[in-house]
Amino acid sequence: MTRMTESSRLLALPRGRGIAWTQIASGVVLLALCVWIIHAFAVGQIEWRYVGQFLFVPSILRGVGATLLMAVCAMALGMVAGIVLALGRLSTAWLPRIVSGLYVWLFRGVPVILQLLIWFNLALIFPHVTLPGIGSYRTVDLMTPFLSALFGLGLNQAAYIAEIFRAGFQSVDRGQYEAASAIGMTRLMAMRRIIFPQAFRTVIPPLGNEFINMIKLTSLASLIQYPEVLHNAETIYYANTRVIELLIVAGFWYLAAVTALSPLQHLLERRFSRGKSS
Amino acid sequence: MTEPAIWIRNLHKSFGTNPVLKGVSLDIPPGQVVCVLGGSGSGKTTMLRCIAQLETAEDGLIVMSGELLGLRERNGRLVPRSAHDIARQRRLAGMVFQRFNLFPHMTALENVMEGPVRVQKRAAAEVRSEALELLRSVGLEHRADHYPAQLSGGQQQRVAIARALALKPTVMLFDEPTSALDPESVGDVLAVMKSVAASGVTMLVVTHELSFAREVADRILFMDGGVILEDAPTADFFGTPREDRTRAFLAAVLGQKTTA
Ligand SMILES: Nc1ncnc2c1ncn2[C@@H]1O[C@H](COP(=O)(O)OP(=O)(O)O)[C@@H](O)[C@H]1O
Ligand SMILES: [Mg+2]
Repeated sequence: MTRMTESSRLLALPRGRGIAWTQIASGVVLLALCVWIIHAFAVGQIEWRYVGQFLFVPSILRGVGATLLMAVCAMALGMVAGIVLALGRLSTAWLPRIVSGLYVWLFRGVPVILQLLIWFNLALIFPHVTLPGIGSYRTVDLMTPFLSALFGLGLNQAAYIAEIFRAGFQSVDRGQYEAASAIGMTRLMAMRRIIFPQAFRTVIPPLGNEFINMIKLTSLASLIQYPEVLHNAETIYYANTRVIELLIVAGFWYLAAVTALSPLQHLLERRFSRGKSS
Repeated sequence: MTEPAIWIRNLHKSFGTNPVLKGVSLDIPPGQVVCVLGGSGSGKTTMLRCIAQLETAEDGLIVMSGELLGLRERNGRLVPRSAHDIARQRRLAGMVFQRFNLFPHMTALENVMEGPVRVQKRAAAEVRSEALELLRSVGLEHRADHYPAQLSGGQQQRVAIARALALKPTVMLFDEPTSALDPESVGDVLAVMKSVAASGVTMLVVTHELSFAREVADRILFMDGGVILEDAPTADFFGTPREDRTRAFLAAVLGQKTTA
């Protein structure tokens, strides 16, 4: 009986909130760390007025444009080639399966920077290229920094996008393809109207990540003289030796581009989520 | 003698080394409603899928509405038809799947319009009013703008039937259309199928709904081990089944029903 009354007494007590000591402690440590880093940057050998001054100079802005142009073009090439590769990988015929498999293996297995250098120096392997019906060219003239970067980044990206789309296509129920066939669709139309739109909604989040990576990856093209933002920042600091300031300028623009992309990704996700149960 | 709606001779189909259809022959006159019964794994689905050309049989012929399915004659031989031609032939039959297979990214109305507009290239405005009429006939005009995920199983299956009917097929194939449904929606789907049967469309229905078969079918096929073991008018099939296997099957299914 006494136990019962004791329990009833507990029933009447109000609820308080616990104190999360570990969270408070780690919060304090993190805050101290942030203050220290910000302080270090503020008092360090950084002339912040230079950062502000160079943020919008024409050469930097042109670099930003070139970075975005390359990211978009390389991503587009990667998407087209990647989708073709994914379809090859899922083909019922063995030849496309093997070719796609080999491609993915090769391009994922070799560092991107190396691929860029190979494209840029292609003339060392093939001094001349003949395009049927157009003419013969010296490879050195043809493989401009732009084209080398485009091929290097885009064709490498294709290998990753192929894997993303392969998973996307596989996530679509087989019954969808059969229902499309049953109403008389050809394979191509079934792909375009039924399979693709459904695969797309599963590939958009990983594709968004790939695009963000691509924006940052374009900085590698500075090594083969493609005038993107990092390359132009370097050109400026070779002259004025404001190294850290200009690196911060370049960093600011990458961060801005990547940040601007998130709402775009959400928009696309919404656009393709038609009919998804929620 | 009118030409049969479906004419099948000596159909053989195996998966790997597993023979699933071992010589199926069948004549179905236009307008007949045929129910297919049989135990699990007896080849009912496979037969339907061969007729719908979702599977290719190794041997045997199927003629539907006077067209030899999947093959054509060239220099005294039968050779495969082009993919394009097969896609066109698939429209001869409407297929209703056990798991509905509606297109999830399209509304009910868009699902019904997809075939006529995209495949038959008909004018959208005209197709739209036909599609709405079809949705009305399956009792779902008020759900026209709903996506499949917003519909119950029974509603999805009725949209799927409307989608198949939209192409005006001469034959409708149903593969256990109510086995994935909750008991309450089974009746709605069967009612729709009854009205399709009344409209004069030739129907081949794989089902376990014996009362539906009894009431609607003109004729029952019993499949067992990849062949049609018994083929009889509905009354005879249920009244005086010939084969022991048929009797055993009916006893098992009916017994299940009464104990349930
Ligand atoms: N795609 C397939 N691959 C391999 N085996 C299959 C396939 N489809 C059906 N089968 C086999 O064929 C047999 C008959 O299947 P099915 O026609 O679905 O029978 P039912 O519809 O009468 O239950 C089963 O043994 C099944 O395992
Ligand atoms: Mg089956």
